[in-house]
Amino acid sequence: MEEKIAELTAQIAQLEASSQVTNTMFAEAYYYLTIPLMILIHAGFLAYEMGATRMKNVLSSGVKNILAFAFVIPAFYFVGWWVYWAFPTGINFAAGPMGISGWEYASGIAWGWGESAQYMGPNIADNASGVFWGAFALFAATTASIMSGSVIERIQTVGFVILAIVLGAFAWVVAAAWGWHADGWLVTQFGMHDFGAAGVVHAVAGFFALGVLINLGPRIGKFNADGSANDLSGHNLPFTATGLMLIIVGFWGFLMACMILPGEGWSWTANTGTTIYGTPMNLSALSFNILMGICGGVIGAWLLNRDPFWMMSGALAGIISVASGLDVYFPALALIVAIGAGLLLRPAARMLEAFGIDDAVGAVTVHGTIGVYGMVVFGVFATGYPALFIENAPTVSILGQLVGAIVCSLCGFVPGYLLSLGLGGLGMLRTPEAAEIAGLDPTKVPAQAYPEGIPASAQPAE
Amino acid sequence: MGFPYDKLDWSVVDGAMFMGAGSTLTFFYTLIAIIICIAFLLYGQMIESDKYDKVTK
Repeated sequence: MEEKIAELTAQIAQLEASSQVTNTMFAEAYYYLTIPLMILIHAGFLAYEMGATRMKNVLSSGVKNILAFAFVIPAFYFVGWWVYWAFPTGINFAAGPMGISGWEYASGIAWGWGESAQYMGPNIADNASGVFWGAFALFAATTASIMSGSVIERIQTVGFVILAIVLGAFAWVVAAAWGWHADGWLVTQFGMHDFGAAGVVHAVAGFFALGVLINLGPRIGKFNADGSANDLSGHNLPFTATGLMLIIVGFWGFLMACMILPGEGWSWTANTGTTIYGTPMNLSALSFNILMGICGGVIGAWLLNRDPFWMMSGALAGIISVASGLDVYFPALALIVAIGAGLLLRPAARMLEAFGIDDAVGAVTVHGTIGVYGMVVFGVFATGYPALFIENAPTVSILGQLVGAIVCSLCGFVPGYLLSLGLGGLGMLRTPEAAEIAGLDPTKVPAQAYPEGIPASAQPAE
Repeated sequence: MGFPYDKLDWSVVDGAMFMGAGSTLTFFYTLIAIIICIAFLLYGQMIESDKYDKVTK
């Protein structure tokens, strides 16, 4: 009898070990697959941005976008990952209540040297660090791509790459540490909830772009002497619209990477998916609300503007507008909120233009304005929801969401403005006027986008 | 609006947790969403008809 019990106990232990291996491998594969999905965001931004440029600048826009990706990822490896774990409680670098933040904790897991280097490279006993770092690195690269489109056709390559590095490896990471981390002071003190990063990614990147645009200035020919704006149409709208659709595909990866899987040492729970704050959620919630967000954004944008560029931007804005609460929105409500974002889009972009800001692809509006809108609207509808999976958790409120949105916007705007001001002073920001007029491709790119040309298409409707 | 459980703690959540769960709000959200979609379609049709009229005149 005892032998039988011992045998059964051994079998149970074996089954448990086997089940744990399956769970660990699934979790690793889950986050790993979000990375190529998120690379689609960059494929999309590349197409979107190149289509939105005039023919004389197509390839230089592409070069800039590709380089941003190439520099931001290693910069995030060198510095950004440490910033995320070191900064949550503020600039005192103290450990937070969850014990997963602060100078000491970050230095133990996120530097590429000393003892912590074991978590920053191949390690057969660590199935989590690489895939988590990879997913976050792609979030970082996304911020750079958001800024990239707004500054096309007149920014210098190296100056742009420096801006992208600071945005991707520092500015947004500070906001994420403060508002997208269980120890973040915006979460623990203000109950900020931003599941899908409307504030910590989109608002930061959008307002960083605004800070840069103020110092960069508009493209030659964008504004007339009386202040009225001209439409400097891109050379390939179908390419741009397709790029936007690719971005939307990639966002499914981005948003699924925001979920914390159960059953692992680093999980919040044994059997339920959670947000980064530990509050319960699942992929079904994402499926309902992302789709409703996309559709609402398109519908809202279509009502005020029949331009497919703005309709597809509306799809993106729709997702961003409900991103903070994708885990708890009711789908019909998500549709209504996203329709509001679609309606807001074009007037907000026109208002920016009225201030003399030339945002070539509407990035400030789509990501900045709508990111803030999404954060605040979530506060209106989710007031009273506990912000963390702990007893006596702070609750979501309009004030908390507003404070979060303002902090995120400043985390983007201040470094974007100051750094671009400095780069301008060093002559590294704006391309020379002669190069801008001649086109950046013939000036510096040793290749031709369309050697055989493109035939003109039909005239637009009124 | 508000957290749909009596206790302000996620540990008590064992089912629907979306905004308006267990209340009539979900009905109103759905109704408003449907009305907006229909109204936008009607307005869109009006705008498009104007454009066709301009071409045919």
